[in-house]
Amino acid sequence: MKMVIEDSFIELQKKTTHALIDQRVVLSEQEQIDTFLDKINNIKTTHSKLIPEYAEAIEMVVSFLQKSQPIEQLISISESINNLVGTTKRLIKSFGEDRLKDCFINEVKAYKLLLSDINEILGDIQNRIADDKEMADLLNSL
Amino acid sequence: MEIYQTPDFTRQLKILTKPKYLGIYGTLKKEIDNFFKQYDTIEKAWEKNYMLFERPDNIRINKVRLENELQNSGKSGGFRVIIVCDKRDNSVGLLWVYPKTGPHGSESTNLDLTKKLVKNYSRIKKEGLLEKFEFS
Repeated sequence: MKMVIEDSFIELQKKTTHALIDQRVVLSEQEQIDTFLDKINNIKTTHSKLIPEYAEAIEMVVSFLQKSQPIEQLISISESINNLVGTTKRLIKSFGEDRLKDCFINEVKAYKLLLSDINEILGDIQNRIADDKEMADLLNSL
Repeated sequence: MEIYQTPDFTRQLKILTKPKYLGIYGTLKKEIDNFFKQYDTIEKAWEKNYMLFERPDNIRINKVRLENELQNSGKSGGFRVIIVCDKRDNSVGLLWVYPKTGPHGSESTNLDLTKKLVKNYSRIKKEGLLEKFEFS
């Protein structure tokens, strides 16, 4: 009988120990999840501030383009936009490579729209810099 | 200020405002109307848009950036309207319209298309066949 009890205690002890270990693992995972979610929220907060700033910067370029501008200034601004195109592409790529890309679908979508916008503006500035003769002739014929 | 539209613009507007695109581009006509109600003089239309090309002092090809309320993506994901502003006769010609997103979404218009649009506008204007733009 004693042996049976001892065996069952040993068994119970094993199970309890396992349960404790399991619980610790669960708690630890929960903590990791919390930390992880905090980090994701921090990243999302950063981008939620950055995206409107980006859109505002685009509107500043648009205002600049409302007027005739010296060619040197157009070249200078096109270089800045070109750099921004590069960093935006890298940013979008970094989201795509991340295991957590599904968490940032909306951010990627927003950056892709902004990228499309600055690519468009860059093309328009380059057309202005190129000062196409055929276009000038067309305008003169109007 | 008189506002005219070319057949190129009319055709494109007709495509984008088809009932099947109502949920995507349904506010386009309203956006264009609102824009020209706000920018109702040649000076405003001339200055408050970004310029693609110009013949100094009297003719400009401008790009109008409009939002698409249904996409909730600001002007970046909205519509673009290519217009010609002519100070000599206080007129604006609507040459083309395109959305930035959706099934007809386009990043931009290329230079060749813009030239073609200007050529068509020039020909139709000389023939006196430009249609007046009608507000909804």
